[in-house]
Amino acid sequence: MTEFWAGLLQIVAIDVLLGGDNAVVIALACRDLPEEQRKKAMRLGVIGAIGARIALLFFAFSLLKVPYLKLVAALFLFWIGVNLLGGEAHKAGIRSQDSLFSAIRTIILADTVMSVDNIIGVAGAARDNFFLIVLGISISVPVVLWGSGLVLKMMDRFPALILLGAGLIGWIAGEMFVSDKSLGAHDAFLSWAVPAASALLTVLIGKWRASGRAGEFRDLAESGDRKGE
Amino acid sequence: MKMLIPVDGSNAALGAVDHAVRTAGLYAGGLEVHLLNVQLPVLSGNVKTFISQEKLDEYYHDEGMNALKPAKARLDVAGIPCHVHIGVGNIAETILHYARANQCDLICMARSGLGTLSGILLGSVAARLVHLSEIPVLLVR
Repeated sequence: MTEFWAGLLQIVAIDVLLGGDNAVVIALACRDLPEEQRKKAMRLGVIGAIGARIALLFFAFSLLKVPYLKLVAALFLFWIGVNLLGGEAHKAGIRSQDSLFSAIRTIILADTVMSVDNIIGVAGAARDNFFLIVLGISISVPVVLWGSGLVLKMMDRFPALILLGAGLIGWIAGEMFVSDKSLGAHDAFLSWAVPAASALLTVLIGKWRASGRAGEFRDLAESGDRKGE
Repeated sequence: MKMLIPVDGSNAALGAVDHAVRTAGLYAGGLEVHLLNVQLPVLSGNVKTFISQEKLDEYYHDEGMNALKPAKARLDVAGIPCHVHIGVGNIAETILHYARANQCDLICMARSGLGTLSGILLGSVAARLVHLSEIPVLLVR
């Protein structure tokens, strides 16, 4: 029973961290659209994010039984955890003239990638409990619907929570890694040492990548004035 | 008298602006207000993969301007000179940074200040600012 509640707690944390991010991307991508298109695009974006999660749900279980696939998923999840703590923003390349198109492209890409993140994370935390996976995905729905801003506020007030969250994702990645059948690792020591090392590494690498960008103060009102506000 | 007033677009924050307007006559050297809105930063690399920095900056700018507008309008009506700033970062630390950078004599803010609901849920920005700041902080209810 304790294992069930621990799993559930981990799943809720993953849903908030990754579902909240997804909601932020949808909200930001739709910003440039004219008012009447924005609502529609946001609704479609949210439906897409939830739909992708439900669709992936059906594959998650059977896929994770494929040998070596858990190893790949674990590495992927590890990277998600590292990225949670900060990352380089990509430079805007060619700015698409058609902003509706570029918004849709961004939303579809983000929905797909972040739903995969979410499913892998939830599947990892749920281990083999099908009920937990379904519950985990259900919980992610309201987070995607109303969660933009949630992670940002959490991060401002309790920066340590995000560290913990990244560590948790690293831990689950480690667990998933050692649990791959093809590795044949039944060692009791490995089953906690690998997750622990993975959690630590996630936090350290994430912190290291995020350092050097903090403490910079830019006044965005000034840049706006120059634009002829 | 240079006064920094952090605003978040809420009515509570406007209380601090009203206080400045009411008491402006008390300052012999005149009153100069610096309005500041602080935007919470999007740090997550998972978001930044999909949203460019330029877009993020535009978002901060627009949201910040929206929050600043009503406060600036009140000061303009009262004829009090004011400057607007939009910062991105930890709210309390950013307020303090701008107060120092603009050599403000006083930080004046609504007590429940930045976000009534989040104030209850997440603790008060004002409390943190009072703890950090060497510049006098005036809390308005």
